[in-house]
Amino acid sequence: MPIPRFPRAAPRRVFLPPARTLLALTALAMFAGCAHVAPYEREYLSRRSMDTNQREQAEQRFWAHVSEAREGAGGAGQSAGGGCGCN
Amino acid sequence: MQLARRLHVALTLLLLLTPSGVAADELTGTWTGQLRGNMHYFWERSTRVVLPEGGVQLESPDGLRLGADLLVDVITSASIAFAGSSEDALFTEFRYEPQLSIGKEFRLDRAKLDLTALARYSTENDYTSYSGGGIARLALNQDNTVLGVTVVGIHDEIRASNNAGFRETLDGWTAGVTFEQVLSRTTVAVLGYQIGALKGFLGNAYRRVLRDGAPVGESPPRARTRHTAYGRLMTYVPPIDGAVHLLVRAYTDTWDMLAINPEVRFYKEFGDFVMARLRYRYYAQNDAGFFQDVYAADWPGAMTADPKLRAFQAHLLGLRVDVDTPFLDGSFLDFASDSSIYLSVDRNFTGISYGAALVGTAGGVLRF
Repeated sequence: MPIPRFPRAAPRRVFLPPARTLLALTALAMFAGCAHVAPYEREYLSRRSMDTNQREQAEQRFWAHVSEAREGAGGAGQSAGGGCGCN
Repeated sequence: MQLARRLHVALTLLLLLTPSGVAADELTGTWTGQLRGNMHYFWERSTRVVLPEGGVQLESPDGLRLGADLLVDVITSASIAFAGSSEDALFTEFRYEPQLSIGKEFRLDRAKLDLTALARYSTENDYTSYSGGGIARLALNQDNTVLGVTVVGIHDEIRASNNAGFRETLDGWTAGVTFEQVLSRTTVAVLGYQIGALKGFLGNAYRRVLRDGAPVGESPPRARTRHTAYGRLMTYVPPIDGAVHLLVRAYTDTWDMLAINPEVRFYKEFGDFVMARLRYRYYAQNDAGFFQDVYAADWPGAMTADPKLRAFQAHLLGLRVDVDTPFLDGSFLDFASDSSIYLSVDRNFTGISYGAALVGTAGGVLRF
């Protein structure tokens, strides 16, 4: 079976370039002033199911380590290296 | 040797799970804090990982936070990548990772600024990693808008236990921004972008690729720039006492990799103490531009046999249950009445054997 000399004939278009991402962030920032929920209106926002970052922190950190070792897009600087070729 | 390893693990667990002697009393205006402990288990056809971790965080009356954490990564593998191209050896490795952090929230005129600095060290017999960085969060508009900036730098030193002359380094940095916005009384959105650059040895010192039929050391490119964009939409649904979180992550890098990673999480609260989470995560990526199953003798560029650099898809299903413990108030376990414990189980399905895993995590936080 012939082995291709180069795997790619031409560079592919990046579907989410940084400039577009920054544009999306800027667009959302423009809406920042439109919504204002006062502290006494936050009954729902303060529920356990809406405030999960702290309680899921350890689990997410472990998953970052797992994905770093098992997925090509994993990690991206989230966790320290290991001798398993995780980089 | 096996007994020594087990004893090693048992002693480490004991150290991590033993509560410290710190006595804190919030009412007297002295230090408060929390003890946390977690046990992670990863099962894959050729790999088992047991990862206990524990930590303590103290907070001074004026809001200074000090944190210290330690995790131990116990990896047992049967892998040809480490033993050579034809053997299938079983071995166990230990990795230790202590981390220190310090942070404080500053009250500004109409905003709150939270600054955190952290340093991490990771060591095992053939790999040492140093990393440090900072996180800044600025809350505006009565916490309706939160802006975040993260900067992390790393320096890794790589060795090979079967080759005393092998010495490599890897240096890198990551910078990220996040934007969190309350959209209504029930909905919050988060957007983020992260860029990272790595330079140095980005392969595995033991892994071999087939070049013209013969195994040789892999040699991926020595630089990689990574872009990650992500978003999260969280909305509370009052009639069901629960919330739906939609997450998406898109990734690309200079190795010609693209990946997309949507996820949906459904949370259901049961009374005041119990909460369950059901989640589904999809992951898809293409192959790295230089990835080949077999390389020709005159292949001019980078080579790798890393299975995570080939195209694949994965589906993950997970269940998690959290229990808060205010019902212990007034009992003989009153000291634990501001605590929480959890258990989660995830199953990852992939089209390849690599990464098809069962993951279990359990842990808890004791606040004082």
